[in-house]
Amino acid sequence: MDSFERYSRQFMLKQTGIEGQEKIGQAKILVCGAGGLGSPVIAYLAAAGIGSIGICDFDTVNLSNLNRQFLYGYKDIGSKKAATAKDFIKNLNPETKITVFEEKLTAGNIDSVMKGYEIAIDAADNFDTRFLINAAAYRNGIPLISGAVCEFEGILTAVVPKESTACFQCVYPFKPADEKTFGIFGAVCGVIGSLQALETLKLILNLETLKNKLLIYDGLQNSFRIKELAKRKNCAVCG
Amino acid sequence: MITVKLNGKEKQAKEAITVAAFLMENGIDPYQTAAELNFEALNPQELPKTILKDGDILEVLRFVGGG
Repeated sequence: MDSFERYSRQFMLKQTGIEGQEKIGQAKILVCGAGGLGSPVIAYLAAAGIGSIGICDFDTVNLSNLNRQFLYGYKDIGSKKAATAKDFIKNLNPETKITVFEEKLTAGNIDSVMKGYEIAIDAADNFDTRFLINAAAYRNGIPLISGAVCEFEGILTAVVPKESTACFQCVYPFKPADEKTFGIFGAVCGVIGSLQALETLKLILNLETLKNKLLIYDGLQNSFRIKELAKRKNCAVCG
Repeated sequence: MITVKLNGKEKQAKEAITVAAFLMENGIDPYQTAAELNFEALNPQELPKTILKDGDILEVLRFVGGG
């Protein structure tokens, strides 16, 4: 009955109920990236009672991560992120099964990494990996919750291949010519990562999500706006 | 002078201006921006070479890809 008390504030929501909580408990979610976005995504999904989470990150913790990547602490510097995130979640919610993928995502391994997951989350930190994740999710018919941040801004969209929605490459058909390291407050990652976790839960519960919509957050102006998205006829992934 | 609609707002610009120069005049870094001219995506490398015409519709979105 520990679970009953743990999730009581969720299933008292009429949109969740006991049935919805059971769906959350059975869900298998892959989180690609355990950094600034991945930290709130993984923590909120585990706290909500997601049954199984795959954490994919090949990187190690460094000191400059700690302003935003709260799954890790000072003593974790030098440790592998995915395994350290698993330890954090074990304490937060031992009911959530965590699978760790510590290899770099490539065209050669991404399909096998995604196999068996019902939703993927793009929390990567570069366009090459984002394009790879988006294409693989579309190819495998796996819904994708894609979020990204830069300085005070963030974006978020839900891609559902079986409903033939616009994909991440409909938003950005081309990569930037040059990707520079940018400044970021952890709280901006917290906003977008939390929304990614929420969109994932809404998708599991069959609630309305950001399909064919791009949410654009501006932390300096305190604004959220939604841009309508259309599938591009000549999109390299979904066109 | 020509009139270009930038993210839904009409802006004046001098004739034969490139997309990159027009964006810079409007305080937008063309190297950090995805651009769509008359509903067709522009390759970032084309921004300094593409000339705007009167009545063009330009939609831009900053590259946001960090995590």
